[in-house]
Amino acid sequence: MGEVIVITSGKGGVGKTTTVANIGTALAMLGKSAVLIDTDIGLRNLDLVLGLENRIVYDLIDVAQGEARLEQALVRDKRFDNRLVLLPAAQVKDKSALETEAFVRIVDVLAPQYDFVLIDSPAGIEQGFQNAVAGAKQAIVVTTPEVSAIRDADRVIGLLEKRGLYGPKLIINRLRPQMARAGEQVSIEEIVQILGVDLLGVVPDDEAVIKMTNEGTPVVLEAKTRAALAYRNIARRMLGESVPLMNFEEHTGLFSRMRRLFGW
Amino acid sequence: MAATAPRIHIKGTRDGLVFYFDPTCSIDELLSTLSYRLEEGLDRLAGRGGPTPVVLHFGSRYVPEDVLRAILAEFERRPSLAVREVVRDVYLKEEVEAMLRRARTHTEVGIIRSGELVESEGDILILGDVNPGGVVRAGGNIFVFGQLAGCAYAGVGGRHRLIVAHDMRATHLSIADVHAEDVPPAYYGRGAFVRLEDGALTFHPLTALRTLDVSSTA
Repeated sequence: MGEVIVITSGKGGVGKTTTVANIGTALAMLGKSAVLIDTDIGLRNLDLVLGLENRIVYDLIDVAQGEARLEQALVRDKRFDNRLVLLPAAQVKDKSALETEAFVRIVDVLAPQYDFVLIDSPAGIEQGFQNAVAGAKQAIVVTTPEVSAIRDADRVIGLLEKRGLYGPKLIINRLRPQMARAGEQVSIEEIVQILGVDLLGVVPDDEAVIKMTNEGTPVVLEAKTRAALAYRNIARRMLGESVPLMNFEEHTGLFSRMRRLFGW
Repeated sequence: MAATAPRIHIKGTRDGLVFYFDPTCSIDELLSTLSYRLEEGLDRLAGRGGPTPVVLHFGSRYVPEDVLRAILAEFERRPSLAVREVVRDVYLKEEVEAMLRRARTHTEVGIIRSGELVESEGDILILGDVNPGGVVRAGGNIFVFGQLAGCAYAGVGGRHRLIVAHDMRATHLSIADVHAEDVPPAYYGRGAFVRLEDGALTFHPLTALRTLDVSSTA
């Protein structure tokens, strides 16, 4: 029986979809099978980030409304021997088109067939969020080191707990270690202290993510980047490995190393 | 009137006069007896220093609010007497229930997150943090054994209460509908409590709790 995990954040634009794409890809790279479900009906993105847009025939709503079989709607990523599978959202329908019961049924069918079912939740705490959460057994909350994102993450953790999803895991996205060190950005410690949940991983802000996302290749495939390492670490932690947080002190540029040398 | 058994028994004690009201007679009888007895002889107490403290004992009689008000008005007309306490053995069920609700301490374990509301007519004890955007609303006192970064409204309904926090960073504070401006920098992030003094909220360090005059806040 696979693990069913919803990835959510409350606030939009913090990197839910990018996180889902990269964690899913990393799990596939580690030999696991994963199905990624995009529940952002009407604003589908996950297919773009994975570079699978042109292979979509049917979508989640078609399956939920009985117009297509589940097998027909699944888009298999050939890069990983079909271990990575996408169930795309509909683009021409809106969020009210998905009924909670139908969604939960689909998740229940997928869960035994894959090691992981990752549900990409839409932003907000309305019906779309409720649907996405309804099928999940665990939750990952994504936030960025901004007060607004942290506040929304706090709210979402409260809502998750109210629905029985206790102890969600936290991913801090787009951390700028230099800014956090200088006190210009909320630090990892402060975020963990406020939210009071376990930290699953920290992804540093990395231009490679933007570039690769636009190309439709999850950044985790680009082994050299620090974001890729962070996503791989997260995937390994999800498999039960104990991987320490990466050291953000290392690999800083020559300039800042010089600066530290001169002590200012 | 005087021929019948006394409807009101007055006893002098060291602490003042205690009025025992007969719980079996009618209310009309009680009121007329009271004005008669007060008229009769107690005016001799006038002019002897301050007003004499008075305790009213109603025993097993249920005293409706309007009757109690009439009786208290009777005493107020006489400046030589000051009612200090009213003792009643009988209350309405709903009054007792309200008293129980106010006397109860509601304990919440865990984090009160943004968008969450904890409410009680009595005291509230939070074993955890109140995050920004979280709201705690109590008829009584609020105690936070953690960081208070959200909103805390104590003494809702007009009672003078305390807000105590291990780590005070509240966004909004109020006691009995009196609101506080920002937490002063000297108390921000520290153990502190807030009380209502002379119509304004004042901040104090936690250590001042030891010397707090509880009677003024109870």
